[in-house]
Amino acid sequence: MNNFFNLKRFGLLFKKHCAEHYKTYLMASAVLLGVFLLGGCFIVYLIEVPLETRLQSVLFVPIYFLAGAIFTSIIFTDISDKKKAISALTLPASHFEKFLVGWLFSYAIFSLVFLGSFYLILSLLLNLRHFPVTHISMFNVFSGPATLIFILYTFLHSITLYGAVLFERLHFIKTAFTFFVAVVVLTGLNTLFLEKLTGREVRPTTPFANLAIVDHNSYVAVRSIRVSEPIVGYMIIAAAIIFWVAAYYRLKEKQV
Amino acid sequence: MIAIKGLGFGYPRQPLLFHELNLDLSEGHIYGLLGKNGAGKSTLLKNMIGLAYPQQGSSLFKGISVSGRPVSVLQDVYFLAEELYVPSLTPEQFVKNTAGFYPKFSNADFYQYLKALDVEAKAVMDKQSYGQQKKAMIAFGLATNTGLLVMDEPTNGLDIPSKVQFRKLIASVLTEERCIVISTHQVRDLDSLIDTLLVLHDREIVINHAIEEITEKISFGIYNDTAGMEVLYEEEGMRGKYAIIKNTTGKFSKMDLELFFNAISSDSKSIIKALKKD
Repeated sequence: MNNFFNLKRFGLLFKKHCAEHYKTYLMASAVLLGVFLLGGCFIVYLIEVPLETRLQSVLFVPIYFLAGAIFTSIIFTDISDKKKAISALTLPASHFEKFLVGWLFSYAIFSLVFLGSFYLILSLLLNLRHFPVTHISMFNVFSGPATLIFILYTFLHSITLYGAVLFERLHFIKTAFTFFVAVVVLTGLNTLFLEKLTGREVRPTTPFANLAIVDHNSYVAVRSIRVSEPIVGYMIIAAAIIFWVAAYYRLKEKQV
Repeated sequence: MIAIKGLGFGYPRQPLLFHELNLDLSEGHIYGLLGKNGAGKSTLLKNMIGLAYPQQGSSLFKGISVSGRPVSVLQDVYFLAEELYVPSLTPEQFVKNTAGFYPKFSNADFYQYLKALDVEAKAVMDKQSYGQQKKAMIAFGLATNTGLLVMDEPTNGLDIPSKVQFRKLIASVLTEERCIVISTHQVRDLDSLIDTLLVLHDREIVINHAIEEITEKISFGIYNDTAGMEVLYEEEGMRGKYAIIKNTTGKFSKMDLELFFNAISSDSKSIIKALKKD
């Protein structure tokens, strides 16, 4: 018997998860549509500006990150709550299969539903009110620069998924708190490291961000060469994979 | 079937609950696990099925370590927890989505058990009373036909007719390949049901004996006066002195589980000593 992965067992688990959670997910999707509609109507009718691409991205990115983080942080509530955890952990499916179902719903399926909802409301909003002499195109999340959104979401997802397994209560709050503390500590350490490396005073810099040297009350920004820019993206994805793997092992070690 | 060897376990920032605990459970038996509140019954059961991982020693099911919860173990083990969680589904829907995980699950058995326990197959479980929820999950657990069936306080929340029915069902599902472990502090509920008694006291399994073996060595009775008898433990009651005495006649008496449990809980070393003697 394969104790790691079995397609039939995974299918059963996926089906069971759908059957037990579909009502909640449908309600969450309806809330998401409502948030988009409300946000879009606010821009179009109250601020009275055309919903151009930049504003569309403002509507897309923060809600994608926030809704994704909240949804991911509750995806493993079945193993946080003691009562639910017993039936979830003793269900004859492997930890990998259980992890994969949570990952699929919170990452792939969530992103697809989010994109679908966004474009549905966007097409509605763009046809709702026409501003004279303006041509408005739709924000393409798959265009080159917008790819960074997905890279950052991947990283955010991995952290919240780890928090979802690690914490037993208040997953979102505790993960966000830990995340911000970690950012402050890492920025401090990174800045110290850069100062040692360059022998100059530098502006506080998060890891993998561009270096800025303080020079007579002004900053001299040091940009990375174009070839090395994708490395930052790869590093973020590598960090995300590490957090996913850590979340899987945390799930494996879960005890009641 | 279950082999616990040198088990050491404790919750974080707390002293060890078990130290060097050994226990072997075999197929074809219904074990009754008794212990006072906080003795660690539930924790022991969790160590048995992989919900808690030993810090020392090992817990094996059919020779496989239960730590890490391998699917091969989970498929042959069913654990009915004291605090139940039931999804917002009917028993019928629940079975449709969950039975497939248990290779030996029997639909026919499940509906038969539901009927016997008077549970509606089409009623949403989380809208039912605690007792009905528990009965639905008992029916499910029995129908999984797993080699090991572990139940923690299964009779909590059941009414008297349901308790009777529960005992009948448990007795009927025992086979040579199956091992059933029932933990409770409601000792009367196990009367005439279990064949082997386990008592957890002071972080140790102080009793692990077949009921027959116990009644062969000690007798239970109500006496007006116990003077001159080799009394191991006695309690004053409405009808006289409820006593446990050494069985010197070779006759079997009906075991008074409650009295026996009280004796062990009050640190009656003489009983343990009497049972150990060959």
